[in-house]
Amino acid sequence: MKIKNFQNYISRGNLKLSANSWQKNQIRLTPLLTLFAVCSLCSLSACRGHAHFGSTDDDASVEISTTGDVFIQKPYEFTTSNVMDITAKSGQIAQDENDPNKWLYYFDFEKIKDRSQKFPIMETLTYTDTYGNTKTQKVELPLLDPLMRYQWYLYNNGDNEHEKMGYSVAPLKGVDIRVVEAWNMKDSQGRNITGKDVVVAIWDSPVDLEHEDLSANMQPITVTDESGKDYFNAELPLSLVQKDYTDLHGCLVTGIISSAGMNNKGIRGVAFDSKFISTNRENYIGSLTELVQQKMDVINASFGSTILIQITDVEKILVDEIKANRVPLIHAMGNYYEDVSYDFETFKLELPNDCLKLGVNCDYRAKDSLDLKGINVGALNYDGKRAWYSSTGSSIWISGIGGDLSIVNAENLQLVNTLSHDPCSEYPKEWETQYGTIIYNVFDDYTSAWYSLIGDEEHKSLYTASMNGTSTAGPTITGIVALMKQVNPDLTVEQVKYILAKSARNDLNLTTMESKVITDPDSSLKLTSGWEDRNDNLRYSTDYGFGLADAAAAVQLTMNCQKNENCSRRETQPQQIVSTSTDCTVADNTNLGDIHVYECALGDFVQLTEDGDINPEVPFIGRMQIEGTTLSTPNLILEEDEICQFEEYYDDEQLAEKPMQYFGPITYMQLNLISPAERESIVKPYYANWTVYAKKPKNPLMTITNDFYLDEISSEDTENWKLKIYSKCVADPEKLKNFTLTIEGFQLPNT
Amino acid sequence: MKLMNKSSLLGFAMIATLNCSCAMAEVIQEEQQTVYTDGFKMVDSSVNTDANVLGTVGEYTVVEGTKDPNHIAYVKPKNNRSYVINNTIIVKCRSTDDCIPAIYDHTRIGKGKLFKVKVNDYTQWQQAVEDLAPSDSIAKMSPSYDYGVKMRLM
Repeated sequence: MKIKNFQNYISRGNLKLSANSWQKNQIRLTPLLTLFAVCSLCSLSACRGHAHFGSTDDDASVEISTTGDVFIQKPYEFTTSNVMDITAKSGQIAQDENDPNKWLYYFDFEKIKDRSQKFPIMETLTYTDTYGNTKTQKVELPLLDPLMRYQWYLYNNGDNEHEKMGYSVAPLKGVDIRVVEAWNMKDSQGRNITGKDVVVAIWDSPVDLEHEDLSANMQPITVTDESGKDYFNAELPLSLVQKDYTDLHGCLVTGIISSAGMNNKGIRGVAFDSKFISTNRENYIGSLTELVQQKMDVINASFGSTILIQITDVEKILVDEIKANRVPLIHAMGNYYEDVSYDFETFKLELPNDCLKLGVNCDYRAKDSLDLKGINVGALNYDGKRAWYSSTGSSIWISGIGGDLSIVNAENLQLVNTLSHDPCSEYPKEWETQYGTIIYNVFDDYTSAWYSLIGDEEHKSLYTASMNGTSTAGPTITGIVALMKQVNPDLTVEQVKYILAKSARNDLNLTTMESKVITDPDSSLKLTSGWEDRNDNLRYSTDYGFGLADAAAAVQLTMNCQKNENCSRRETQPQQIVSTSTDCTVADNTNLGDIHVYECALGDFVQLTEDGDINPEVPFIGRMQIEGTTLSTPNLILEEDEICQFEEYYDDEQLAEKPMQYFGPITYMQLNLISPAERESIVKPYYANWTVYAKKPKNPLMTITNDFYLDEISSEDTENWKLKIYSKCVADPEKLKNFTLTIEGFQLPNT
Repeated sequence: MKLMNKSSLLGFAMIATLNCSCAMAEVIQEEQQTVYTDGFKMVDSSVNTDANVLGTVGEYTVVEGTKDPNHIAYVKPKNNRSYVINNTIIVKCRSTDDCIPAIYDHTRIGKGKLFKVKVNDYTQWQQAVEDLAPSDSIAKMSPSYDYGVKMRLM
């Protein structure tokens, strides 16, 4: 198609073109660039970015007839007229053998791999016409997903046109999940790794199924009975989705993972060929029960509880079943690193804030079955550091990219930038819900420079540049797992965890990932451990887990899993052993000020049955490689700390007024677990607030630590496991004897 | 949850209804707890309501009203957290054979050993919990409770 009237293409944004910019026999550089810029921005409406060189039908002309893809090395097709030869300055262009007027152009992928390619992508073509004239033209290569240029978490070139979006700080080049490289790998059927045949369960608020960039990837659901439909979003129109006051969170999460790719619309998901099912997490157990019955390959859960709710038996059964079905549950770690208050609709609870003064985590993560059984994901920022809000702890497994929260500092006008993109139908500024009229300004980029880039009014509401949080980081990992599952749908959860850990970039690869050792100035108690070496050349930090996930390396290791001893070992289910003896004493508290110390020896391990029952007649014998460790804490430790701390925050009168059942924080207490090999894990940090229901819990409080991953233990170890309890409160050692330690792991051959 | 056995239930049960203009709550007063078997509804605590308040469950308020079809009973123990009993019981059989008595409406979850048992009322629920206790064929039985904790988005 030859473009004879530029005005047809000047319909959006701030770009303007004069009506006289087109002249016969003269190709102008500026209007052509503008044309390409407009077309790339307006490809929300499937504009294919046609470009035309030449002024009359007799002139040589070169035009893009089919847009290619620079990220997946799909060629651009050029159609020519009266052209003898074309060369490209950067990429490779060759004539089609069967059609002399068709040329295939491949962009130089090395520029993508080294992250040097900026946007817009310009190529210089030199062509010779039939008259022997040589001409040179600059061409802008449009993108099949026009907003991908801004998706720095997928492809970070250190710029990503952040200033156009209104952000003053550029992302740090190379801080992305290296998914572009993964997309260019091929599965056993020769297909690009893009999430094909993979189903992702979005366990969240309802998704806008009508969204232009999501609807094609929606997977139909099946339910066993009518009531099951209550938990799935199968037919929810936008108008009802918008009544959900959770800001279309599910929509935002879905877009990161499964937004359709190469469709001339919007953005590109990490696993853009994956399908998704949308389920409502409002009724936790109900939706969990239905999820177990769905065909799916990975679950994303970007939510959690802020109060310890204890693991009920039904949760254990269901979550274990999901795991047995080889479905990883990717869980957002939480955004509560600096959170010292809990804001409920009816009252606000202020918690101890010593953590803020010391710069340590304020919120103890071990709240629910998602924390205990999920793959917990922390958030990295655009500068390659842990996002300030991202919760930490020994339950963290891996880091994804969460971006930063938009904060306008009135004093120095710095913007902490949010540079992540997700497709999301913008809620109206004001709408009616069951809670009354709600006005939201959470996503305020509708007033920012970002919206000027989007185009027409209809499409402005479909995309945002303000999504952030561990809610975002989790989906970047879920997308990577979806890619892994395309390669091998039968990966076990343990294999997924190993591959993510082994392939991650740690502080040695990405030096921005700082993790410090912090000691309490008042007591010399170590509060955080920083990065530490682990077996199999891994490194672990309670700030980042095993590091920033690397999609390409993860896909590669998935392909080679059978050749890797630790990966292939995890094809079977781990066994479990549990301690049956606990002996606690008062321990030395020298140099610890007024902190009381107790030490418990945990030993006499026996095996658990497949159903999780203790089998006292089957002791643990042999060697084991640790997969995970779980500590079950007795109720009584809560009682002691409650007496010590709880009354400082509430008196009886305040408690009586509470409309909900009150809870209290366990704060000035630290639990350190020490293995027979003397590795020490800070399971519950001293100043991290652990909010629990104050009334006696029905089930023991559970905590986990990933600090011992891949460590080896033996039944011949002469030392027991030790649990050290540091507490501001006095405790009776006799009452601490209900601690039990469960170790999950893989039997090793005897040496 | 410690199950009230039938004899203690019969010994201390007192069924009452509360007068109001909305759905009436049916109440069983037991020694250590109060059980509402109908006429109760969980509402978000931030929502203003004129309905008669029966109590709280976690972050929700329980008022008189039309019961959620998936709820069986609202239980208020004297010295512990309140909770709502859901109408499903999850059972894990020791093998893939169906171990659930035919009198119970049940479906297999997935292709393995898990089954979802659906009950219709509190009495049937109590009976099911007794009948489905671990045995030679039943590995685990777990009633489903709602403690009213809201999951927060991250």
